[in-house]
Amino acid sequence: MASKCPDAMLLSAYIDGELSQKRWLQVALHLEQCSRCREELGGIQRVKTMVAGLPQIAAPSIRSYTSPPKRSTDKLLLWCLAAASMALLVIGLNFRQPQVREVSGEYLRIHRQYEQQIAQNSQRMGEVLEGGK
Amino acid sequence: MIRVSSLEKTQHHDSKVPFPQLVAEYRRPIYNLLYRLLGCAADAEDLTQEVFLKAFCAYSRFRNDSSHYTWLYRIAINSFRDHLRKRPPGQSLFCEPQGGYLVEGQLEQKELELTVAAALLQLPPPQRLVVVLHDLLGFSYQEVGKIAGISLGTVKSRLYYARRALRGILGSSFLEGEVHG
Repeated sequence: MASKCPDAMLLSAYIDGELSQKRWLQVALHLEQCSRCREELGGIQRVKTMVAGLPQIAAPSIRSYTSPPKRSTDKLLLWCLAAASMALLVIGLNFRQPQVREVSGEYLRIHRQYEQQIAQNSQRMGEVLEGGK
Repeated sequence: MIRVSSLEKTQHHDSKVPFPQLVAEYRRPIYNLLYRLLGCAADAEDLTQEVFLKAFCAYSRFRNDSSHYTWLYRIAINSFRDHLRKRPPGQSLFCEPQGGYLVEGQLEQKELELTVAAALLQLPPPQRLVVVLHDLLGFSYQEVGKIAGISLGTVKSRLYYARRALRGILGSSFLEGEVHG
């Protein structure tokens, strides 16, 4: 008579060879007697094979750049910043213009510094990579 | 399966590898990891660039108490998590497939690849990460746990639930047909 069916999670680990020797033997013996578990095992194995079969993609070269790459997420961030700046501007026009100008100026200074830092680091990395060839 | 490089296996615990060698060895697996996690070649390329720039800036502080691959993959995974956080809600992950024109006979294979890749993108990101690290990049449970910062039990359960979900997404008839047909 077949022993109690193991948890399906154990079957998944069994396929990966990630069970202790004792547990592996228990599962192996059970599989010999239980067609339902063999079927389940086959299903897990097929999924694993399909993912493993995805091809390797050639990687682009690592380059140095003078400004950070712009992604769609950066665009969203820029829109948020633009909206916040507009709101600040409206408030500033009505109330405390010099303070708003000061805050905006400070923000722009920090942002420019950040971009310059990235560009410098990227340039240094480019030089190191060029030197390593 | 994309096997991890020789550098990853030797691990160089005693010596610090020159940065250009690190880039040469890891550029491909890191890009492939990010490409399969994001499903978008352009974003994967930008993020790979970002990963190596972060690594370059921090490399002087890198100590050999963890291996190079754990350190670099962790940077990549954190960048991926940041990317997901910043992504506008509802934006589709899958932007465009890689590759050029196909000749006859390649079409079916490409279709299969795209179906599996698209199914991967339907998984929740934590499950997707584990399945890509284990099934595609060939890391062991222990290595996946180290890289992703999760316990062995979590690796095991996420991998199981990911595979179960993939079976559901792909459908049993598709899986049977592809394996036997």
